[in-house]
Amino acid sequence: MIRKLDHSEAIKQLLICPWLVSTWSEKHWESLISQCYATSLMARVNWVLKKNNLTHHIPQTLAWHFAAANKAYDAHLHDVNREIDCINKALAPIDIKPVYLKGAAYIVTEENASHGRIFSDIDIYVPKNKINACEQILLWSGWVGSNKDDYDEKYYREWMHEIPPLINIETGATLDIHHNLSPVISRIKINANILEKQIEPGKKANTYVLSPEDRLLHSAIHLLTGEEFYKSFRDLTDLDFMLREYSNKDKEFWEKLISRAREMGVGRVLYYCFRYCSRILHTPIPASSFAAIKESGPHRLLLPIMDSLFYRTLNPSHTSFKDNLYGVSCFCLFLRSHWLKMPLKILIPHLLKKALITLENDKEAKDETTPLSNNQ
Amino acid sequence: MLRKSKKINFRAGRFNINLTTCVSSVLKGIDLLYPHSKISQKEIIDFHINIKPVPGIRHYIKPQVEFVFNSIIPFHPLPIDQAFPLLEWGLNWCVSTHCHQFLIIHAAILEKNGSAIVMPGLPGSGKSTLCAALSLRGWRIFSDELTLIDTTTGLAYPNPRPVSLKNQSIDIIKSFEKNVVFSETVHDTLKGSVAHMLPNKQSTNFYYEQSSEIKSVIFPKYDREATNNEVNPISKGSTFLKLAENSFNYEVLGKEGFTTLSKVLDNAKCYEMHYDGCLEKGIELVESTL
Repeated sequence: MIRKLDHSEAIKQLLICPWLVSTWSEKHWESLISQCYATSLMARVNWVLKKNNLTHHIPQTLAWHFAAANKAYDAHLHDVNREIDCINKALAPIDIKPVYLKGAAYIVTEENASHGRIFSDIDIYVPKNKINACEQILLWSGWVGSNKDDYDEKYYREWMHEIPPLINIETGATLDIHHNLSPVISRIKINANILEKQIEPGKKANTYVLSPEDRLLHSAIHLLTGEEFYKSFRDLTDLDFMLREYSNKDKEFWEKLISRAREMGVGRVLYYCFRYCSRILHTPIPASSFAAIKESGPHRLLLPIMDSLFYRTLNPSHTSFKDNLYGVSCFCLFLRSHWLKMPLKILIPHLLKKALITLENDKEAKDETTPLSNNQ
Repeated sequence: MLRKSKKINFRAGRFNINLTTCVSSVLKGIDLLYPHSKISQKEIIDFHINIKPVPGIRHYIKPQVEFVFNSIIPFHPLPIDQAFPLLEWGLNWCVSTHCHQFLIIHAAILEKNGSAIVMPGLPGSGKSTLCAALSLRGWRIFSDELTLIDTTTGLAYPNPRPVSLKNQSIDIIKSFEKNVVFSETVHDTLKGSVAHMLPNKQSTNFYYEQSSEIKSVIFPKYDREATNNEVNPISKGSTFLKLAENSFNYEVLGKEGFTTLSKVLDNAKCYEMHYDGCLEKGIELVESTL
């Protein structure tokens, strides 16, 4: 499975068998760095090397890449913690206790999936009946709406599981406020009430998170029904870290996870999660758990198709992993994600509308001069 | 304009680059402005870059190129005649977004006899023109855009690359000194007309690990109507704030950024310089601060 001498799969080798780095040539390290840049995993790989006491194998001329990425990560951690304090402070007067999701949840629980992971938005969950109050008080406390037009407004308010993102004017950070884990009109329907029953405190004072099973399922739903492919390998490593950590801490984790997935109606997602985590990152999933979820898998004729799509999109988005079918696979999964997200009678007008908006924006962009980059 | 895709390894300043491109103006630009910078296939690469045509129907009407960094495309595509400037801007981006071993300030930096001067400046302040002129009068170019300060020692490190000149500055420098190698001027970029100048030999022959202490920080202010060419001391406090504001990664470095800037300003003198565009006088004023 792991081709020991082939440096084109350096990042996977490192995540699966970190100690192999002692056999690496400088070219392996060079490939690793290139793949880390492509997948935004430099700081996480640095953490894996550190945890396994392997940093002395890094060639000296390349060590700065890791050290620098780690500095950026430390700054990110600091910023997220400060942002969480701002959000908690703003919501305290009306007694709303936001539940932190995804990246922010990994940080407040200090779990392995937080290490070296840089993300752009903070996601929180607030019960639907409190969401108006939550939005209002944030708007009074220094956040502003970011919705572009009436269509966007309708899209979020009527169909989605979150309200239009808010932006903290002082820090520029984006806040996504969810009242469910999947869109209201989605084919995957989750009863938000069952989430609330298992909310638990985070390690950071005054923070709350979903239960470990729900955190895992939420991240899996996001990755395996979503449409952001350039970060999918990073998100797959999140799932791998979570499965390993949670199952080590709780002997009953696997049973709880499987029954929770069935309760939520996301058995298929968990099946894919098990399949690709174990096949791509060698996540140790017990055979009994695999067998228990097998019935939720796709039809045997569909499976090879899904395999070929997911192998292409879940592997690192780097030239050493991409083949000619990468773009087509992304497109197919993009269509699938929309198919799952909304019924056809909403989906078709929505895609047409989006295409029109993109065309118009292109035209406007040509009229104005678009900045090359903020920094230059 | 296009040929078969080619891979070249070369040294851009202090970093090793692996470039894949089929755009002939990029290959020509590298031959011209990075002479003797080719490195062997065995050398370890820092940044893998691709300058490639944007595919699609548009390619046959108005061809565009994009800058790809390890599968990431950080900028909008640009018309194909801007391919070489795009490479230069992309290389700046590689440094300014990743190299947190340094405090990175948007400023020109030059060195002579172990002393370095830093010239931050807004567009139009004349910093690039002055930087090019100083380099033609014996100063070594550390960088015309990105001052790299080591966060542990507070010393500046060289990253010499072609000097980017804009609009009138191109002709001003061409008439200031004959026999200077320039890339072809590219018009109608986001920054107007742009040309790149080959840095002098002593800049690129310089040993890359040789650091230098920053002796003065000068904020040049070009004003054609200026009646006095003068250089006046300014406070370290206001200089500190301006440098922090002009830094790409002060916020990433946090406390480390603060201590690094403090180390620099403990030893450096700070000035504001008004000049009317006369380069000889400008050079004299800069040198008078040492």
